[in-house]
Amino acid sequence: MTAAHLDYEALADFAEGILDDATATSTEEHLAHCDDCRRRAAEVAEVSRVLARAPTPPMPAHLVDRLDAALAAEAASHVPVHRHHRRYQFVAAAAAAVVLVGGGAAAVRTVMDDGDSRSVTGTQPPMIDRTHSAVPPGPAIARAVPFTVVQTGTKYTAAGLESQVAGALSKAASGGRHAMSAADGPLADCVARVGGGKVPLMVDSATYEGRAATVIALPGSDTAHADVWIVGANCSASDAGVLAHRQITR
Amino acid sequence: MRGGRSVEAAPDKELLRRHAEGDPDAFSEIVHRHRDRMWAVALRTLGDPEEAADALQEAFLSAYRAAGRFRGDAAVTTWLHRIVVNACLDRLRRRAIRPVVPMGDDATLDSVAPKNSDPTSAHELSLDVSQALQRIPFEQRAALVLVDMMGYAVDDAAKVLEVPPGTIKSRCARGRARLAPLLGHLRNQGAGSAVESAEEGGGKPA
Repeated sequence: MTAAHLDYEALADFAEGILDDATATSTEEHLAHCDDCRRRAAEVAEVSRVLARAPTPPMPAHLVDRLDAALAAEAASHVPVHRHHRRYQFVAAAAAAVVLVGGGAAAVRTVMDDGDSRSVTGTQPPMIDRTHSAVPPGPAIARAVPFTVVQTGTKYTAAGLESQVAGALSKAASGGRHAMSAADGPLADCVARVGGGKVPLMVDSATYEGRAATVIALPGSDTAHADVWIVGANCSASDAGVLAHRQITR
Repeated sequence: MRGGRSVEAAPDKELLRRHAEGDPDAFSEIVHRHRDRMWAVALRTLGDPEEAADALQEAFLSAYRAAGRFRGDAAVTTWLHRIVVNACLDRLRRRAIRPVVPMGDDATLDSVAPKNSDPTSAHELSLDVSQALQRIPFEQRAALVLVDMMGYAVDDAAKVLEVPPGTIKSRCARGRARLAPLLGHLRNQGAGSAVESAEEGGGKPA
């Protein structure tokens, strides 16, 4: 029998069954007649129940997106050789900046459609494009930047941009599925302007928030991040019309 | 689809092997299966969603890269848990150079703390589970997260943390002893907000 009260630590050790026999016995005897210590022992026991009941909030959607994007980027940067074209491997390994050119599909001669290859050069404005049937020709600036336009079919959204871009890059990097064609005209001027001479990793003719858009991926400062641009329908050499610009984790 | 059965049907170990061999779908399935549980561990261990997400990302990227070195004698979940816990520890070590808790938090706590004759006690009582957990040493916290919160057996937690089961028991006991006075308000107020939301939360993750 012990006269001294038991502290939380002794009580927790007792409850966990890790006291030596003699100490455990004296603890038991003390508890039998000490209300204070019994109350504290109950508090210790209650800790486990409180912990077990504590809710874990679900992972917020934007953090899920970030995680998915990071893993997609990791996948894109380790494209197995036997599966993909070397040129796209290089492209995928570099950090990316992405530009979305809203409504600019009229200027995009693409591309990666399954089946019918619309190699027509922009005589038909896209149905979605209600505001710009033509892109005003900007000043002819250097078109030295080589790039091709793809259609990954991605419907980009502000909320999902990060994972979508990473996914599109990975899809574009998988190559081989579609023929690609070089673009010229206002889009080329636009890419040259936005990219500042950098060779894009990907130019994706797609949609952003339901509007026709083009994604242009440019090498970034490091391999962990991408620079995402969203540009208006009238993107040209003279006016990029940037809708949004975001750094993303690849 | 290569390699026989679909990723959905394959066991973890097979998925990890297929990933190491270049199957592009195998690892996402692993992430899909275990993300919620790993998130719970990271969030409870670090206390902050952004930090937990960062740690989780680092952990999954580590796992992605290290899959080829996975030894088949452990369960994939054990291996993943270990990577997540280590990623959390890494973040805590890095965080140690910076302030641990934003200054605003304590002030906010004081303002919402139940009035009590003992101001120190009032402050302590205002801690919720997440904050209380941040008050105890990492090793105790990691053990309690696995055993008391995630519901793992002591032996399983011991494998994750790579210590003897007796060490897990002792860390859990010490952690509970420290938490007992900090969690008093959760115990006493049956309709308290933390308890309420705990019940709404539908129990602990599997």
